[in-house]
Amino acid sequence: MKNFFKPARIAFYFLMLIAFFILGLFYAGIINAGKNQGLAGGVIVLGYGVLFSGIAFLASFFIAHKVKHKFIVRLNWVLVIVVLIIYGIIHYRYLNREKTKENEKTNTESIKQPSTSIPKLEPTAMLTQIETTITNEENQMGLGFFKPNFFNNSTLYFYGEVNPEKGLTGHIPTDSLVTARDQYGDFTSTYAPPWLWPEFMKLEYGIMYFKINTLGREFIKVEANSKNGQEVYLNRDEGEVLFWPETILFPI
Amino acid sequence: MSILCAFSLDSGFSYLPTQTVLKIFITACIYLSMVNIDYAQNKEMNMGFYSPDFINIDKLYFYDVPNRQKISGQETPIDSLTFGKDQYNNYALLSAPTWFQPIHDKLDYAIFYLKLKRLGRDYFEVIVNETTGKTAYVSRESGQAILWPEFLLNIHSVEFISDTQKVFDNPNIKSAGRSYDRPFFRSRYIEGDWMEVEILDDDFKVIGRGWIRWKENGKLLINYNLLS
Repeated sequence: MKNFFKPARIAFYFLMLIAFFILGLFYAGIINAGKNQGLAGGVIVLGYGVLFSGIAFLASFFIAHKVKHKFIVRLNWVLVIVVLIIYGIIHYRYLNREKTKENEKTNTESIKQPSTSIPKLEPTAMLTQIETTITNEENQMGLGFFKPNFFNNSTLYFYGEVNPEKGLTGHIPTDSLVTARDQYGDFTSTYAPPWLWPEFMKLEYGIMYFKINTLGREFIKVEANSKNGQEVYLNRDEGEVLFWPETILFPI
Repeated sequence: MSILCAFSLDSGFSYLPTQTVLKIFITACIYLSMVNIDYAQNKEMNMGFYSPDFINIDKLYFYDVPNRQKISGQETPIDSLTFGKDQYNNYALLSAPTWFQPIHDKLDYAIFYLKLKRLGRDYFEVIVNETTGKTAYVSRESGQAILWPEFLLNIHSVEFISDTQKVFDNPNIKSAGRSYDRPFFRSRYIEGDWMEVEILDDDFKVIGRGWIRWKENGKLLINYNLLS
């Protein structure tokens, strides 16, 4: 038991914990565990780190118990080097990123401003439409809108990537929007993800429109944030699909 | 086309041997006929389909151009269809106008579609004769409009209309295209002009996945199968 708490062994336990926590994070990054998982992405990556470090921490007790003191000291040195190398890589990447940001900032600032004054422009019509280049082929306008039915389903579930081998019941939601009624009977949200920004919302009336990008039998892919284009999958039975012709004929 | 070919045979190529002229002539005729077939399949799309609610209604009324001065529901129908059941207890069309010729009548499989030409608040304009293109109006409450994306998700399979069409890894023609020998596709997702599909073999077993372009510039690039 005395051997158990020798300084080299205590250092070994913690070094294992730290080294494998970082390795877990790296592993999650390599297998893209957090990709397209929305807010849950960070938690999933962190989960990998905690899982790796937890197993390594437990294993370290057994290793420390089985091997000689000299070997533990050597292992400690190896772990210290591993941690330092990883720290070095992270720091180097951070410095590179900062340098790129600074370069971009300098490039933007160095653009010469026109020496002549810009003439004041007056609008010639009440409404103007600026034509933009469609980059993503013809999918800019989507197929129409998805209107969740909050009267029947108080919670709207958001799903990450969909596994084509599994049905709806085989998927676990990554986030949700929870609604309730206030004292006046109006809808209100008790929980909403911070990234949620539908195309149109009048929640007190239970109205929310998401732009449909992809339509499937069970799932539909919608734009959950109309500002940054973030997409999520929704269960299409939790609301109504309104194609563009229907939306135009029966405006909100 | 035969007149055109005969003319070219009589008038030109007199300096070439007869067999060579015949080869050129036959090749040209085959090529032109292939173009014609492609053109025929690559026809303009309508909005989708209209399916009457024959389970809940006995009669489907056809209307002439709706009079906008009249209140909806007060129009006088020009003709009607009567739905019922046959001796095998299958849904059947009991009476129809002589000019009635829908695009899909498989009532024994509970399938009955008319081409949807226009979508309105109170009425749909549908094609009631596929040969002449005659249209009539039906009340919106009498059935359901099924637009193309919804229709494609609920049919058995689709096929390419041309051997040159390919399956892509992403909904983008810039990605690598794969060729299959006469494949069938089952739609999974619709995204604009693209469709994510399961690729099926002759026994309808899934042999892969990919994206195909199902329409381009308002023209349908696929043939569809309602049933297997």
